[in-house]
Amino acid sequence: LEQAAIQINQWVADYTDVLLSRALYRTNQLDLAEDLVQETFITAFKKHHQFKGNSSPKTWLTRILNNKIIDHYRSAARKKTEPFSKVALGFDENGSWLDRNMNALWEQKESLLDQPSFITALSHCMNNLPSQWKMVITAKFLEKKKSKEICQEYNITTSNYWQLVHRAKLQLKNCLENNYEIE
Amino acid sequence: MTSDRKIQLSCQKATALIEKKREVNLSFLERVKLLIHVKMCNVCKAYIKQSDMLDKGMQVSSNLKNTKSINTAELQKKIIQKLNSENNL
Repeated sequence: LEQAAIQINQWVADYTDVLLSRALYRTNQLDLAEDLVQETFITAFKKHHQFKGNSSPKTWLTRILNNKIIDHYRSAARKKTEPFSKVALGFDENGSWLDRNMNALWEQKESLLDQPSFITALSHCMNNLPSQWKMVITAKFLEKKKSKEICQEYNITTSNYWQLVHRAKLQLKNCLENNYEIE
Repeated sequence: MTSDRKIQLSCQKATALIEKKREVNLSFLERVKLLIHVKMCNVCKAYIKQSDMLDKGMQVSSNLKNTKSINTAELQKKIIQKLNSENNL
């Protein structure tokens, strides 16, 4: 047990950085990411006898962390029961746009991608997405995962996946149109 | 009311198909419905470009995040303390 403690302490020094950045990119929330990393080391400590040395400690710890992230994602998904209101996505009862006017945001001469303030606003809006949408969006764009991998990892169907992306992007569009100030 | 057989799409359905098209191939009927809708609806037509811009923007924003580093010394200390308390139980 003493030996396990020494080894885990070494791993904390060696792998906290890499695990935290992974957790952070998947969750986009620092406090949550830190908790998940901490839980990862606690689980690693408890299950240390299962570590056979067939894989590197980093691979083993990453696998534990991934399970923690997925568990968190699934329990968050279970808690989320409120149905989606069309209004929140920008549509009326019949699924028509509530606002048919073109927001000035989209009609600027300078490309939005060249405007740091647009990217900042977009990051802010991404952070405000419900946590399970955020994780899927992050897996897609930050980790550049293929949709097939994401569906497997989060145990969702392809159609759930693109519906989720659809809702997330509508919410981002609304968020940007409401919050972004054109310079 | 909104049967799948109906040729006319709502804007909500049309934008869903626009996103679906990025992931999977649309059926022939879906393609026709979407084409007809977008011909008539400027807001959905504009959404195609906006959707593309959102994807590119999320890519740029994600690339920026990848280069950001965080100081984990505090967290390491916290974890060690937590592990020590677990160890003593």
